[in-house]
Amino acid sequence: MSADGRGPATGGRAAGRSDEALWWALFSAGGVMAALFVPAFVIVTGFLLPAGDPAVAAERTAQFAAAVGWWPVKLALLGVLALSLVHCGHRIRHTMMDLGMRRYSGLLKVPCYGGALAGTIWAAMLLWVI
Amino acid sequence: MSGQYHRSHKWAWFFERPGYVRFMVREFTGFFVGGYLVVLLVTLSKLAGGGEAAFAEWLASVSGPWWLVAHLVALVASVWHTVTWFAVVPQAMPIYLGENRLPAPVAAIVMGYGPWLTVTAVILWWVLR
Repeated sequence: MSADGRGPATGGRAAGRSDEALWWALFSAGGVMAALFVPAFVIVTGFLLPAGDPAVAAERTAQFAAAVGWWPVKLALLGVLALSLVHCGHRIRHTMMDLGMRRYSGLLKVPCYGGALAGTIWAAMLLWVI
Repeated sequence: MSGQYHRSHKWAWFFERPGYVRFMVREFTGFFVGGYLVVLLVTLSKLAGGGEAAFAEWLASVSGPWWLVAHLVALVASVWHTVTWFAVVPQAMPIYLGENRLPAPVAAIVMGYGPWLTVTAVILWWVLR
């Protein structure tokens, strides 16, 4: 993603001992996952499930629950969610840096990657129960 | 501390050129996609937590007009993320057939739009069938 201006050396530290390459690799993988899955997810949970007709909504909810309850889907969903969350965290962190918070690039890791980690743990706990 | 020099600039530097604005619009999809993912987690928590009645109640509240607008914004932002992501993929991961580089539009279809439409069709078919 060279057009991104986000090579591994943009973290504010020397590239050799930077963890930026790791975040960038996860950002990249998450970008693919978000690109492939999130639009369909939005259509399903934002428009198809909250259908006006309760009978239709119940039918779709049953289909949704059946899919989410199947363990291969759970595993895939957890992977998609984890990588997409890290992707968003990384992108938000770099956007904040671009908007004048570059001096806090280290501190920004806490809410951005910590939030992604918390969301992943929550997703794992939810999918375990479902 | 870092020993690196960063030119100081206004926070609104990206209004200087249309290309910078496009860059920032793309970057801001991160906020909207991230926000939607949190809503998706809440949706899953309702499914995991309270049974069918609680989930139906959650869906009823999400069907309100402001939620529809929010989801519409999330849909536009996520599709824009997809389009801009697939525009960059052929540059980042060029495919070579022998000596010849696969043209960017073909690579975008093979590595991006094809899988995207397949995934989307399967998910929508499953819920709607």
